[in-house]
Amino acid sequence: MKISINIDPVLADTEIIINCGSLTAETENIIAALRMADNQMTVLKDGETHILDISKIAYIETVDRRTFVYTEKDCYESKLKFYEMDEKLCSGSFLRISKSCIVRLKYIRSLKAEIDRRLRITLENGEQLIASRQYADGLKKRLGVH
Amino acid sequence: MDKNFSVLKFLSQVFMIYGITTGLLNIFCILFGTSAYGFSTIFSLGNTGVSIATSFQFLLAVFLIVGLKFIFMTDILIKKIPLAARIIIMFAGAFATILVFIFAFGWVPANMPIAWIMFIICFVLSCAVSTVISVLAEKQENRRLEEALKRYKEEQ
Repeated sequence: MKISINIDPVLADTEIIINCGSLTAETENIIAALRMADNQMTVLKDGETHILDISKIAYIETVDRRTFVYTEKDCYESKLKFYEMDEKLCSGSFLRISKSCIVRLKYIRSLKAEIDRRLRITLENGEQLIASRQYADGLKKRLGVH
Repeated sequence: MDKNFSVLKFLSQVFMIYGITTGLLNIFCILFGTSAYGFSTIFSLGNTGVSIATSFQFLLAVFLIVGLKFIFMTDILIKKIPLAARIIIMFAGAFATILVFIFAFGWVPANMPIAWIMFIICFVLSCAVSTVISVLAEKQENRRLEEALKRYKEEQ
């Protein structure tokens, strides 16, 4: 793979052009990573590709090794693996809350403690998620609860 | 089945509770075994300890009660039923389980009202205390979490 960088002070915006023979998995990964860097994500719904703003995501869930991205009203599928989402998103405004779920902290409406140290999370759209014991402490730490 | 269910976690809880229960039963046997001999099958060996039959009866009872606890701690029920209600239903289930064992294995003499009254008082009291403690602890923790969440959102 050849990488060419053209620096020209005249150019106001950064533009990335990918020239390739065909759209391979490797190329798709590069595009996905670039979208992530631009706070966007390529997702699929009903066979159509959508570009989704990361700020619109409520939570991400993995089911049977497939990754699903949930916004307030819609559900999309992502070609990125769950661990890739975890690596790319969880340093920002997202946090892993269980083995299969990542949530956007700002989208949490309320939190309730359970007796076995799990947390019941209610999202802004009323949906409920459970933070497992293993990850609940991380969530508390992130919120500054000691 | 709940995706968070782990057989190892379940068994570790069963044997932890069973260990504590058996330990306490042996202490009761040493303390009251001689005087309670003949009244309850639990004290069938007097003050020498708990019999193998009683040990296995308790293991089965603990197994069922921990099973009940796991059912009421599944993600689906956590989302649908409030904590206090879940604890109360859980204790009611545990009470029903123990009643079955009492009748089936003669743990408490059927013709001795005082023994029944003592058992019910002890059970209700311990359930009430643990429910109140759990609910109060939950409320305090929830307040801290809500405040922290609010602070986090304001800072962002």
